[in-house]
Amino acid sequence: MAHAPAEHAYDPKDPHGFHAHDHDHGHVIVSWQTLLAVLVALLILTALTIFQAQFEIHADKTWGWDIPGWVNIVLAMVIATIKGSLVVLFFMQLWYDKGVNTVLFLFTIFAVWLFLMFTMIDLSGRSTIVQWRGGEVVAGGSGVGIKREGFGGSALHVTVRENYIAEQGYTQEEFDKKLAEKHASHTRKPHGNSKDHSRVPTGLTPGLFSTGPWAELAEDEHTGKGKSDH
Amino acid sequence: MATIDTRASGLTKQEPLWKRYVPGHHWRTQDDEFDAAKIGIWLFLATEVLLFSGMFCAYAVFRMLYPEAIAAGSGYLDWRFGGINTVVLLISSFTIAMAIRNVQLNQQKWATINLSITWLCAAGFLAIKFIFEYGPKWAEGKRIGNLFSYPYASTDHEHIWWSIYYMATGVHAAHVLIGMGLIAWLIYRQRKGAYGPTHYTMMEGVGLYWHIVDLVWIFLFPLLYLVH
Repeated sequence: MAHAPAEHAYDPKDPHGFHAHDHDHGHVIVSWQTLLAVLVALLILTALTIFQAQFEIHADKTWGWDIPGWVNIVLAMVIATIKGSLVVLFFMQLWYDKGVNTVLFLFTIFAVWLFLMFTMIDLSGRSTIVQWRGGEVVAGGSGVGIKREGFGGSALHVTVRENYIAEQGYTQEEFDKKLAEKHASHTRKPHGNSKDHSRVPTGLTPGLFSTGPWAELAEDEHTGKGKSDH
Repeated sequence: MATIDTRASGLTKQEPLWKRYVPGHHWRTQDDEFDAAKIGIWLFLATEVLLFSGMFCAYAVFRMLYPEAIAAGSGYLDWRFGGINTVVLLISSFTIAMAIRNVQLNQQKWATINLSITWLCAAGFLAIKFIFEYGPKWAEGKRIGNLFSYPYASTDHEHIWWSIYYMATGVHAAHVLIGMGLIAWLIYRQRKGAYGPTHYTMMEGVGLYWHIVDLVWIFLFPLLYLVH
């Protein structure tokens, strides 16, 4: 701002004029062209991320391509990060804003990173660091231990299924037919090599995978010699 | 006008509210007040990001432990509803950014229009979520943890998937709902002439909050609907 005439520069809140020359900081008016361009970019990236996920399914069904799962998740996360950056930089104006807000935001991202990384280190390191503890962990997450009438003892989805069959009076064949129908309508069939589709779970607590579709894998990887003879 | 005039004297009731606004007596200028308020909002947004990071962490943990359940679970979701909702939220983010630009340029009519579009997008997001997603899924028994009663589950740990799904999208939907309340308040105040080129602190704050809601969905959408 250029020097204003004396009578205009007088400010009862700032009689000594400490701030007379920095009044026009911090208020950026972003052009509508920029905002619209960011919106269009975001919409294109959304279409792109949907396309790459659909392409994987299509390639699997049509040509039998078995694209590894990490390709899907890495692409999706890269696109999401680009989209997020566009929102933060231009819609939230960090590109134009005072540095302190950027520092705050980056520190938050750093905190999130710490949080995720240390959790992952814990999970991936269990029973490889303190092997004798591995056996103490009971099989979790299947709902075996639920304390509710008619529940407990077997996995939650098994109990639910058995109760439903009894309630509806289905025979096993009838139910199997309905089950197949339900899953036929899924746009996404369970991936062919679903056991290690997302990630090979090496180093996980042995007891966790001793039932269900994991049983085979658990035998392969976790009940080998050396792990149980502590 | 480039200079922000903080003099309250000489302004009559005929002037709009935003012109008559005087910052708290402990602030030297309106700019100081605006900047401090903005840092406060960013600090709040930091806690918001950390709140949601807990849910992303839960997703990562259970994805690592039970990839089958996550793959099957995301197969139940229709990417079309998620995709439409992504577009709706992106548009609403654009319109609220435009509304802030409008008040900066004193285009009051356009500010009302853009804020109203933002509010309608938020309502549309929730309508799609509840009518086409939560409602039918809950009715089928695809529910949180202990309440899970879907008999056609194909994997052992599907109830965990639904816990993650309902918690992550539910907390996000609560943020959308709160955002709708805040935007409605903005429209009411803006119609009274409370926001203009020299004073729009509340609009800036709500705008930032609304963008964070959008940002969270930008990550939730691919993780829940697309990745498997």
